[in-house]
Amino acid sequence: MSSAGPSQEGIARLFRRRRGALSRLPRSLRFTRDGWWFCAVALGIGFAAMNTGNNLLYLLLGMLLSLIIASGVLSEMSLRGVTAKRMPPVRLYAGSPFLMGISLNNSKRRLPSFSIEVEDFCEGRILDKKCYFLKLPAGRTQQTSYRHGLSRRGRYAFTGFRISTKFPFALFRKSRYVDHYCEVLVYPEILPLSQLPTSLRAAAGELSQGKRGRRGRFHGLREYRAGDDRRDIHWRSTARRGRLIVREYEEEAVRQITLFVDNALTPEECKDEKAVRQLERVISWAASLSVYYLERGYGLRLLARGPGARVPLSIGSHQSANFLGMLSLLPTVSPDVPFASGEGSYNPRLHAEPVLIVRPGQKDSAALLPGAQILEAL
Amino acid sequence: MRFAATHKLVSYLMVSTAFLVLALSGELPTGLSAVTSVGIFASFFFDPQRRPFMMRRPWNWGWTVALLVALTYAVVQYLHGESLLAVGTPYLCYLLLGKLWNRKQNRDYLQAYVISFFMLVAGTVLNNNMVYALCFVFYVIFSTWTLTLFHLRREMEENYLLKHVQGKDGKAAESERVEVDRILNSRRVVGKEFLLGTSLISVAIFLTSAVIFFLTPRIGLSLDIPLQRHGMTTSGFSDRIELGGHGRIRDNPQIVMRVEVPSGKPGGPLHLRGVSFDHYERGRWSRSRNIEPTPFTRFISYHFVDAGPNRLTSRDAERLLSGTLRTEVFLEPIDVAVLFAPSRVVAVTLPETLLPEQGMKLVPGPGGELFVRDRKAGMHYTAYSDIRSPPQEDLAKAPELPKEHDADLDVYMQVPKDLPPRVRKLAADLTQNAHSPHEKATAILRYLQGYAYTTQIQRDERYEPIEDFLFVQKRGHCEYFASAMAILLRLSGVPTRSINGYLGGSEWNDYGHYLVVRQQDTHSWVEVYLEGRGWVTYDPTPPSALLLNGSMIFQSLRQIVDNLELSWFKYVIEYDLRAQIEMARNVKIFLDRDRKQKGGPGLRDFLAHALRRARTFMPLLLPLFLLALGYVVRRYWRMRKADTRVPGGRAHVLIRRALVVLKCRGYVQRPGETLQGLAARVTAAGDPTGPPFATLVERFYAVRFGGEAPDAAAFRDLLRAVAQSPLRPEEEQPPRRRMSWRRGA
Repeated sequence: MSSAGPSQEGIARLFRRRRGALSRLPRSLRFTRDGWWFCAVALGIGFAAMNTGNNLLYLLLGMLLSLIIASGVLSEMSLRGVTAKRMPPVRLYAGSPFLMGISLNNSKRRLPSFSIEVEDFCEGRILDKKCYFLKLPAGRTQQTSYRHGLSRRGRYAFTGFRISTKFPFALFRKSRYVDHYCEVLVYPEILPLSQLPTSLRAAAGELSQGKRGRRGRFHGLREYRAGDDRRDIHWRSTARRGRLIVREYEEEAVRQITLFVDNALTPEECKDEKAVRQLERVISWAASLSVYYLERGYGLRLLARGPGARVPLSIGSHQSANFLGMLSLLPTVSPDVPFASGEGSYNPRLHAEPVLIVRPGQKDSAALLPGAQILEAL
Repeated sequence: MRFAATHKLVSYLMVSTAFLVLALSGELPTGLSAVTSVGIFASFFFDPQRRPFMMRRPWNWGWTVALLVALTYAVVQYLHGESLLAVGTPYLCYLLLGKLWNRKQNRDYLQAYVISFFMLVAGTVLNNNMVYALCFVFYVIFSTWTLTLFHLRREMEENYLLKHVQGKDGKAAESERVEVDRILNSRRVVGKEFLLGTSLISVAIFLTSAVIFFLTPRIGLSLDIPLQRHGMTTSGFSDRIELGGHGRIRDNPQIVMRVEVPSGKPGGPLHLRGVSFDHYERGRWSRSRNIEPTPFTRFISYHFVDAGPNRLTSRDAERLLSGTLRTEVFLEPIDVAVLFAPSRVVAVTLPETLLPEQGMKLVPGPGGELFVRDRKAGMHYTAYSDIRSPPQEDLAKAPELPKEHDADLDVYMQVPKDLPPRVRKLAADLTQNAHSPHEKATAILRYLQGYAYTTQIQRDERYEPIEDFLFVQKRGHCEYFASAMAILLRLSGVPTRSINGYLGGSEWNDYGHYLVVRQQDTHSWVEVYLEGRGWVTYDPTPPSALLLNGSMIFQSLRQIVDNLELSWFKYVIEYDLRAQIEMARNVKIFLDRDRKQKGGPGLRDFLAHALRRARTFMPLLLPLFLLALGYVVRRYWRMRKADTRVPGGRAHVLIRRALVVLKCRGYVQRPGETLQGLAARVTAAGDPTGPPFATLVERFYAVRFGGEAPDAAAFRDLLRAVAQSPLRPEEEQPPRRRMSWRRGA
């Protein structure tokens, strides 16, 4: 699940933000370029009026100043009663653009709101994406979205909105901060199998291993359906019947895989951007493999260094959120920290399934499980 | 209306209004005004987006070259000494035309607005008539519309509008591009409500402008006021005049001044004194330069006339001013630097400025005139005059001028040496039985009353003008009457001077409570020096001649317009520091809680005064009321017509009323929801309105689409049933927006 209730860290952020909100003015006002020109002209007219004593210039000055006042009042009317909500997508992946839905409601009974811009605050900073609403009739809700991408996995806090308007004369932009806290979990980047290293693709069964294999016990024959593996076509029956016939195999016991993610970095490596990037890549591979295996009905167990850094054996693509959630929040630990143990963790004596270890390169592999297939990010 | 069409229309209205302000100032050449008007009008129908030739390069280059040529011409003119306004305003017209014929992008519209604003500024400097006020009001309304719509248009074109579409069946959410052209052609963004709402905002802007205008202190850094209004040409007030000029302006209705008399309408005509003449020679009056004028005595802002050389105390000032008539004179710009005030001026006050040395300077004339220096426009001043007529007995007691009299009076005894003997004889004959100067004056005045008044002078050049008037023509206008009396009195040994001014009193504005003085009110009379009494006014012109034959048909309307014009000049054009101080004083009095106890005016007095002032605008409000009434009738008529055109039209009206009832009960028809759907929703909510409304909808459908004849009574019954349905219990009512907090409870 990408959006979640506030975590402890989130509550702390919320508190900091509240404190910030108290010190923030209810409205902020910033002159636009046109507004600066307008004020300059008004000053010029004012100076001319005082210098010449021409009362009509005073009248003109009054009109210009009144336009500024009316602009302030109307922009306030436009902003008042407007609330925004965020509609995050179900899943967010690092590096992939997503559409964040923004819903704007005008709770005023009679007055519509015009020319509203909504900007989102993420991690205390305003995003450079804007949503624009031309007219929001009274009592109505409208939706729009902005496209954005988050480059790194992890938990992100969207703290609120800046709702602004330049209505009616674009002399200045009046803004209002609206609280709307929302946390989203950004999963690691999921790479297509074709982009994974060869060793990983082989582990996932995408490439020939160069060894003899079998396809299970024969169950029966049936007609070919679109999507069937062509290797299963039973040519003899096909020739006899004149239409494509494929073999069916009996269901085998659940195939299981244990995936180790080595999330350790030495203090020196932590400072090395390349090493950190390699670790992130490793986590991304692990996430890609997890999704791949779960979609193909494998039972998958995931372990990483650190207490609680594990997902017990799970089957089915609907379980992928657990794996991705764990991976998205997987911290970097020191090499001394052992892999997670306890209930649901891997026991070589009890579990005979294949083990994959995904780890950054340049590591001493001796310390790891003997016989495990080690996949290193080079 | 469609958004783009509305925006274009209001943009043109705003630009045209600004151009109108400039064109009506009279500073633009007539040909250029006409060409620009036609150009603006024609460009409205030529949309560059639809005319391929306007998008091509030769068209753009042609305009660019034309504007460059115009700019060069303007620069050359400027270098040859033309004023910036004189060369700038035509160039603004060219620029505006260039923009309107090449409006391809938003930027072009914006530039046209900027040009129109500069036109308005130029018009503000050049044009300050009432028309400006009208144009200003419209400009505020149109600019509010235009700037709002322009902002929306620019925002929608510059922003990438997206509509969020929620993902369904496991699919990801999507965003749809919203086509700007679709919005520009939409009728939903800008409707009547929008225009009406922004019009109300314009009214607020206008009122705020007025408040800012009145409250901004008139500190007057410099009084280098450009000539705002052209000086009106008058005659009879220069240093030297010729008899007969008066007749030429007798039919000129141009307003010269308006005189407010706070004490109410004067009992008789006011002789508004302008200039005096002492020297007469063959039909020409002139002023001698050998009389030293008596300087004014200043006390605060008062300029006292003939108050002596000593410094005045407040008690002296109070004594001098007591019993005088206070008049507020709003003088139009005229081509002579003389101020007019009722005869026997005691004191005058001029507009105040923060820096007195920058203000206008009042200069005394040799014959008691009030001249003003550095006046470049119309002005407002206050005069205090002693118009009380002394008793005839007192005047009759005034003795003859002693032989050892003031030498300055000798100039008022001058008579032409070649004056015909029969004039001298006439003077002697008329005054032979008179024993005092007053009796002599009365005798001559009585004699002249027998002469006829006319402005159609037929002169016999063989005779001296006064001789011609007295013995040949025996008719003439006021100048002849005054000149004849002055000369006859001088021949009788009485110092006399001829006065030119205006006779106010023939036209009293009932709405503004002031005297209107026009060019045709120009008048001449005489002042006679009576020993111990000073200069006393005698008017020999027959009174009946002074009655004007004004048309009464439009008199009332004319008075209203004139009152508005005076208000415009008084409260806007001539609004100054003194008026601000006066206003602040009034506000202070108004806010003083104890004013009643102090004998000041109460709230009721203020309201009564405001109502009296508002009465002025009543006749103007009448057309507005009729317009509004016409609009309502037209709308009703169109609704009725629509009812007969559409099958079940009347039923449609009833359905709309039922929808209003439902809305009051918290059920609003959702977008895309049918009437049946709404009826089902209301029924499902358990509201008693549901069943009758559902029946009403069924009947309506039967009439509207099934061709059934409408049963008006049945429809009304159903509507009544909907309207009179009992309210549901409170807890079952759908939450209203204002009461949404109850849901939480």
